Amino acid sequence: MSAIEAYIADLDRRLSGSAGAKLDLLTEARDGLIDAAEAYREGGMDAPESARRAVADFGPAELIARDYQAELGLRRDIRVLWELIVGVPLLILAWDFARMLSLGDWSRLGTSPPAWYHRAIGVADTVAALSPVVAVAGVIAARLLSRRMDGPGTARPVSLSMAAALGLNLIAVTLYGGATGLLEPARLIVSVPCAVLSATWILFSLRLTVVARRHRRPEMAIAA
Amino acid sequence: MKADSLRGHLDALLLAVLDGRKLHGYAIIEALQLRSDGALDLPTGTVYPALRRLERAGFLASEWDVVSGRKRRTYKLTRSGQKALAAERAEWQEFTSVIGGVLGGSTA
Repeated sequence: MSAIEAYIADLDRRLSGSAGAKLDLLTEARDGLIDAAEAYREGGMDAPESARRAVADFGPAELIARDYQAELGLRRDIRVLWELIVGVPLLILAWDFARMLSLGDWSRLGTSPPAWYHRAIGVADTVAALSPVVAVAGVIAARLLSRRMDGPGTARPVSLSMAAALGLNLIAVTLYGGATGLLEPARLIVSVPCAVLSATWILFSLRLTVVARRHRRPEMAIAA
Repeated sequence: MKADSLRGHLDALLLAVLDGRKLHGYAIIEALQLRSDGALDLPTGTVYPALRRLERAGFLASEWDVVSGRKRRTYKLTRSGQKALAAERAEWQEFTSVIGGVLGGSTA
């Protein structure tokens, strides 16, 4: 294995993130190393020494991995933020639209629920609406902070905003389901379209939680 | 010039190198070294994540292009990047003028 391939493999081992994003970054790194080695070869150096010099110029893998890992983490977090920005309002609107078409007015379900239920759903509505708002703030922060700070400096606040937006969405889903289940479990399935959309929202939230937690081990990856 | 002294200026240097042209990562590194007569001494691996960060900041746009028969990611300045570069240049001129005035000025 050439010094370049060994270096890329080392960098690959130290990085944790989606396979596609890693491949994209590592392909560009390999291209740069090959270009640098070619430049040394054109200067009269032999191939193995050219590759070693190119790798030495690139920097120690443990140092370079820190910036690459921050980049990978930011990409993942920004993707989760965008999914929340688009997904949560879409699911809220689709659920209400499905409820209007399939059930009509809430009064058709019988007696009006107690005041505590209205308060719980009111809180859930507010929390659900806040989730994409916080996500938008996170995306804006990622853009603005990238102008002032390095990758690791930008990654932390963006990661926190992603955790906050995701947490708000999970609280909203739990409040909707918990309050309704406590009041009357049958209301959880007011109609088939609503039940399908509720299940979609739960799966969407769980998937984003898994995506957000996956590969979240930059310290371990860099220290390896 | 060591990496630590360059860290605060790397973004401006990258934007300046890309002013009016589209380059791939290694060509950007070569241009940096050429313009500095080889005085810029920073790990070349730090340039690639910096380019991605500047792209996220809206200062650069990138795409995969075939350059010299190989597929490479190339970068160019956006309109925001041009404005940022103009601001960096103005700030730098002001800085060098003030500091130069003190360091290199008369004893009056």
